[in-house]
Amino acid sequence: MGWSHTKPRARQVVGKLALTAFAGASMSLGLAACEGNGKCVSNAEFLRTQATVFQERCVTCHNSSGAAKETKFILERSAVPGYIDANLRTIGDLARYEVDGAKLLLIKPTTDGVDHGGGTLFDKKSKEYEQIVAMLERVEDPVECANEVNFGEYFADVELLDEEATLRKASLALVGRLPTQDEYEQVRGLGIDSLDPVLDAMMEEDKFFTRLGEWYNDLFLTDRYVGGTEALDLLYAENYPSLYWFDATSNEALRDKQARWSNIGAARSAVNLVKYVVDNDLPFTEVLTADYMVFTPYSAKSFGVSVNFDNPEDPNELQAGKLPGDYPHAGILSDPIWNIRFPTTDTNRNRHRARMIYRFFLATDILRLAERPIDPTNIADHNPTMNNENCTACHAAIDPMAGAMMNFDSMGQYRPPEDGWYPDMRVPGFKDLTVPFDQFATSHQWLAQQIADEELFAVSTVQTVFTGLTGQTVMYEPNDTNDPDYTGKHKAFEIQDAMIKDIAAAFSEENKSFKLIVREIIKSEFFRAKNARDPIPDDKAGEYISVGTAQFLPPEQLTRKIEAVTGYPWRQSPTSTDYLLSGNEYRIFFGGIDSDSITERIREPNGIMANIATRMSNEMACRTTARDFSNEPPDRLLFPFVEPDAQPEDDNGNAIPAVIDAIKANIQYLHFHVLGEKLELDDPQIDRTYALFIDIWKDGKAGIAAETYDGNLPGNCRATNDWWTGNPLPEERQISADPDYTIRAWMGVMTYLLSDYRFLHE
Amino acid sequence: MDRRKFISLAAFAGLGVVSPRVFGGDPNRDVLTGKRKEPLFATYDGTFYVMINALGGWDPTSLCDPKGYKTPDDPEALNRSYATADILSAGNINYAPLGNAVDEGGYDGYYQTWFEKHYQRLMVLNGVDTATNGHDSGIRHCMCGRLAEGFPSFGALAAASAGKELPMSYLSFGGYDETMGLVARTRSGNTNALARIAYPDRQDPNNEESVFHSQAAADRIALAQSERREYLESIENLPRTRHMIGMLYAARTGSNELKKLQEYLPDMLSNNGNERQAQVALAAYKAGICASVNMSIGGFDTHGNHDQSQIPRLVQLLQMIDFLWQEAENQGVADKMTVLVGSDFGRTPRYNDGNGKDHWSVTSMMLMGKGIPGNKVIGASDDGHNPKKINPSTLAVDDNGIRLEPRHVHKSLRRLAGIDDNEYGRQFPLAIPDDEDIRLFG
Repeated sequence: MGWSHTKPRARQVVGKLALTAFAGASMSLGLAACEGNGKCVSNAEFLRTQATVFQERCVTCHNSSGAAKETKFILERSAVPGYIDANLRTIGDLARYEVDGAKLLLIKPTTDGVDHGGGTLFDKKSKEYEQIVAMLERVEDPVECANEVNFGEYFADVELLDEEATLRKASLALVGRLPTQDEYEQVRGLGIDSLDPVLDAMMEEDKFFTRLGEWYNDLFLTDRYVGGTEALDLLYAENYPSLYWFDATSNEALRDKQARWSNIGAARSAVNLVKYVVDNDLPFTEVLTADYMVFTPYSAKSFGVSVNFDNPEDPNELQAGKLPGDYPHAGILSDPIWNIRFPTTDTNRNRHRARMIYRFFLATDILRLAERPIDPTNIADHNPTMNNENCTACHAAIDPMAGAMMNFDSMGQYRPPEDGWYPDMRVPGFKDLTVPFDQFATSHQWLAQQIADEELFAVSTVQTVFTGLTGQTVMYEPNDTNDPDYTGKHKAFEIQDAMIKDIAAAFSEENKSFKLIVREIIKSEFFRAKNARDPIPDDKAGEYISVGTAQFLPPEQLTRKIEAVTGYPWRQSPTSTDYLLSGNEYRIFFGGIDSDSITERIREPNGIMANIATRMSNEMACRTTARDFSNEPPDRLLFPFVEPDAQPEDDNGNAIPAVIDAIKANIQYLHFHVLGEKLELDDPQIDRTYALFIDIWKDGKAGIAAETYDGNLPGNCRATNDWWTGNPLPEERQISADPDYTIRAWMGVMTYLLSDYRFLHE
Repeated sequence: MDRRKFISLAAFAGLGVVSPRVFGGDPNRDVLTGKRKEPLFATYDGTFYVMINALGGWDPTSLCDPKGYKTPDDPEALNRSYATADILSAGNINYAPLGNAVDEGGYDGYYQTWFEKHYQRLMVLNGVDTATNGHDSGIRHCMCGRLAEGFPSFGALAAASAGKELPMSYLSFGGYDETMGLVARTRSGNTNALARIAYPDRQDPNNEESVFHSQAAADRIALAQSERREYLESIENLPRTRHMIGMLYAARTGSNELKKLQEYLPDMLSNNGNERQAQVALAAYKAGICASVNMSIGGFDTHGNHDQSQIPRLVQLLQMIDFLWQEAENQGVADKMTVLVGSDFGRTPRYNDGNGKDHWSVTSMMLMGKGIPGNKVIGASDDGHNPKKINPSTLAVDDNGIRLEPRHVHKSLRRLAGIDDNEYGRQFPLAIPDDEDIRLFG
């Protein structure tokens, strides 16, 4: 099944409008439904753009943790995904309440015969009052617009990648390799759903779990502690007396490995839990609710946990186990290192952790709940986080959750507070629920279950995968109605939001399957969008800003792509760290993170990144061209159709058609192999690359004749030994000389292709 | 193309330098964000802020807050390496009469050379109370003005304020360099990597002959890339794709920043790591791509054999500072540099059983350069290296005054840098009562 939106809103409206118009029952409906320009305005859009009183005034108190949280009128803030639908339901429910025939929603804020906890907010002549009146009229006669967002036609003019191209892109994104011919054949011409089994198989590969770890480390940032024994050093030896078990190993080299693997296993235990849950096809909610922790054979020894491993020597094997002492596990929430990574203090009181939990697992950026200027001079209240409106917007949501994480101290240790939770904070809980007192010692387990039951947990998981696969953060709902692109951007948001919600719903229905999310996003139009059939007018550009990935590859992905395409990694020697992954080389320069102080990726290239890409294209062209030619054609990855000494013209300057055909065939092959472009032989792109080859070759040949150029390859570009082993190649396979400049002409072609937009982006 | 020309041509329309077709609509607004496009960056030539982290906890009593012995066999001596009577002065600044390491045959007077050379640009703050004996918290307190976690270093604040978009806005060679996300920190002492990035067409960045491709081939590749760009722009219609194509080629257009860095680096980088830090930092500043730098030197945690270990390290620190100033003068930027030198804390006023000194929360700080009144000492400590209070107004020692703390220093530094009340300064306030808002620099 590919993703397709069922657009229920569009379905229901036309008939209803026709019916009501025919009955003449609601002339006001027709007027209310259309603005002066005849544009249909649905209830949802009206609430969002015109009945702003609900978001600007009511929600301040009427939210799940606000001053009016005990009332029936609980609204969601706009930072919460799906808030419009939720608020429409709430307003619809409340619209039925009347006092002496007057609508409660009208008489409360005007205190017209009833009390209102928030006092009189406005009078009957105010625009706010008129907004509520209009909204209530719309509740009586809902308006939905048939073409409000035409999901069906939105992608009609967007070209999508076919099955093969989608598979190539997905394969590079998931497992960092090109698909095999067998995999291509499994999908060729068979429809997009034919990718499912191939993708499922890819999601069994180790490389997928490497990538999965990267997605979640971008959130958890626990790789901050993978160096030395940094993670172990942060744990309390009295809790885990065998933390440094490897000290007993006499062999120094082995001891160092044991220390490193133990530390990495501890540092990455939260990320490893994610991998374990996905690998075992468990409901993804177990990342929060698991009553276990995940260990490697080495970290298990450090934590003093007895776990059976298939291969006790394998530092990558993951198995579940429990920490000693009836430790109350709650997946990631109880992970010691995860809690250390997001520490707390006596004054922060777990609020930072709570904010992160909202962000990672509830698709909510708490700070956006109060996106408005705060005047600190207005904050003079006693205990402002409880009482000052400037503060409660966030703290009403965050403080109960902070309380529910009460059992973890500043060093991430499980240590329930001896004197209970702070009495000057909101009681531990989540939204309008409080942690039962008898569960205080395990309140994080209670919290984990609450979050797992939330729809937003599913949404947040989809968002994480979406960002991992596309390099884009999901769109926030635009709120600047004065933006000339507001309408277009809002449409873009709605489309993306609908896709996310549909996949989230499918995730929830199918046993919280993480792999389903990966499959569905890959098959979605967002991932597959290739181009628009026609130029998009400037005033429509906003509508399509989230379509198509166009992702400048981050260091990790480009590293894998380089090796997948050229057959060689970009690193100094076989045993050294890849240039793009080494913190001492290019990782940070190329926009990567160190999970410590550099935690945000640079996703658009700057001059330094462009230079690194240029260097890569030069070095890899040099390293791979002659080496590939040193293999027999069937074993070549780059030049299967041409020989290294093949010249397109003879000594008299006459074209040699067979050679030219071979060169062009190889260029055609390279355009697909390196760039993923399927081109006909007479495509101008083939001609351009061929012209590049010819021009470099002719210049080089003339230069050699004039003895201005060397007849040999530059030293590093020669194929004299096996790069991996360092062993000399058989004499007949060695390539040092380039007497006709053909190999250097191919090096020029490789530099051109490896520096191309379509190689550096996916 | 030279980056300055690039910026000029872009007329500060930033990415508008790329064909407007790439973005569509208003060339000064980004189609993806709707925000006005900022220039990739403008050359920075404002004040250069240098934070020198002496890691491990230095001993100010062996340097700029000198406390010697009364007699060579004085069991209560704060220092055994020199006599109180031998303390020297340069202008208004007292300093220990030390120089080279003890085991190198006494002292040849390097301190004297140094202080005589620099005292007119040097301000010494003595009796600074760091309120901690912890290494991490101490250096944090010293370099950001707050003992608590969660504050960016002054260098990060200054870089973010001066130009967070600069390619190497905040360069760090270690020490407390927390940014709190304000600015991208470039943390690399690997000048070889920088050189390779600067010259991507050379196999050996130091050898202009070692090119991957002949000049003709390189030019031909560049032409093909240019044609390819035109082709992609002509066929790609999705806004995001067009935006990213524009970004890549705009980045290539303005990718010569590091060549500039290389241009300003000396032909031969020093073999001395401390000096190399200064060379790279000043070259980056001179190239207009760097606003502040963290330099660091370790080895001050002298719990054993203090005199034999601490004093040579202090000499190296002074040499490092001297080299920095020498290089700055060579580069013609000495008048634009402000330097803060500090450490985690001080060391105990007594020797332990291993002839070492342990952690002591009282320390000194040194400031030099632009905006810093030289030849001046503020604050003091008593004979036991306990802090004396100062009058917040006169800055003179005053028993009824306040203790000088790092936050007071940083308040003045922030004010000097014009960041005390900007958006970043307000985001990370120092929380100093009005009656403690002392003005150290006038």
